[in-house]
Amino acid sequence: MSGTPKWREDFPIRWEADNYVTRREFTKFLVLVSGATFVGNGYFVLQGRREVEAERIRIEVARVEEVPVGGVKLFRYPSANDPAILIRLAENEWVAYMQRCTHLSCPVHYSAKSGRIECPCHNGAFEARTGRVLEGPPPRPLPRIVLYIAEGRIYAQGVQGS
Amino acid sequence: MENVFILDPARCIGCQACVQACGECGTHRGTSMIHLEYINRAATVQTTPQVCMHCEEPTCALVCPADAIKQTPDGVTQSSLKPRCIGCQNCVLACPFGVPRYETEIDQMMKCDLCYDRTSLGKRPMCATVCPSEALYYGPLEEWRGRRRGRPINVWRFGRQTVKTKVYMVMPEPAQQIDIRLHEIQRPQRQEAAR
Amino acid sequence: MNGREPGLADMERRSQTILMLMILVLIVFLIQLWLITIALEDYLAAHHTLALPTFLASGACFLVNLRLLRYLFDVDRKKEDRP
Repeated sequence: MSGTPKWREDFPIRWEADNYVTRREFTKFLVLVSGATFVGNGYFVLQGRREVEAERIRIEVARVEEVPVGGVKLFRYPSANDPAILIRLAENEWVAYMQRCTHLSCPVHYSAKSGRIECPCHNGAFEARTGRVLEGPPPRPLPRIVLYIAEGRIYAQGVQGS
Repeated sequence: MENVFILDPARCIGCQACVQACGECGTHRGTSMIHLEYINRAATVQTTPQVCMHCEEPTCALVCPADAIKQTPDGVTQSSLKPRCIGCQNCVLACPFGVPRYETEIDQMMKCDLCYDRTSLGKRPMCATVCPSEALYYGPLEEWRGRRRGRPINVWRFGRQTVKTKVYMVMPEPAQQIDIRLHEIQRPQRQEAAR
Repeated sequence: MNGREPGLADMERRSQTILMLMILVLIVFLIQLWLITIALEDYLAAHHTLALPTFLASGACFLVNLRLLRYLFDVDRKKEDRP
């Protein structure tokens, strides 16, 4: 076989040799895809680092007197691309969540009457107090934003995954 | 025990049963892959069947530019692969036995594949099954040797090229190989007997 | 017919080896797919703890695949050494 030219080795005549070549090429391709998956996994590491950095920043969301009981205020946290919603459930009860529905990223709205956060796109609903899914297609609870209240001002620092 | 295909041209009676049987097969849509050759029509009506000789190093496969001719692990050379054959007829020119045929209607080469759909299951090829005089034999070599005369040989010399085939042809004793000296052929389809 | 057999047996053995290699690489790749799915799920839920472990595990899987690929090349190279 040592005298066989390379092109003849790549296009063999016998069935078993042909199968060998095909399987060999496929295996090489699989290793390439494996490398790509490894690199892709790195994307989540980078994005996670970036978000953790952004979450270190404490920003002021609102003053206490701005939002009535049962009212909401929309803001952006942790970055300008992330819509968030601040809800005053009661006199001294504040919650804030990322506004993207965990189903397909529609903006969710608070309904004071039902005490639920509802998504109009596919009728998903979350419990306003905890963010857990009550009904509909959303697979995960709404990511909750950690709030600090000091001197009559509400601050957001950090996103807490449930 | 391995089955061999042995062709005895002396036994051919020209009945065309093999041609008809091969042509009936659905896998090649009615075109017969075997044909009979007159060895010297002017002098005699003797015919001999021509099947693919299934060479160990199939020249047709070696010269195919489209990698369309493959060979099974047991040495049977297949007909051309439909998606690959480009109809260049390189194999038609190259085969020392003149076996492959180019079919213009389908723009593809077709040739005998030893009825691989049958032989891979242990059945005999169609031509060997219907041959009334057993000029075409498919079965164990020892069984053939037990009741027939002659020596089956499968080594051919074409000038300086030696070709070893899977299909045997019967020659009278004591032939060892078949030597085709083309420059001495004056009439078509005459073969010199081996030394 | 006997002259073919050493070459044939060698080819069949190599064909089986390559099939085993392919299956192994495929299994490791499927593990990597599972790891990246975990990473994705957690990222979407705003957890940032599992991204790095899955990345490292995926890297280990990729190194295993590279080693298997090296073995594949060795199978080919052995053919060249034979006279």
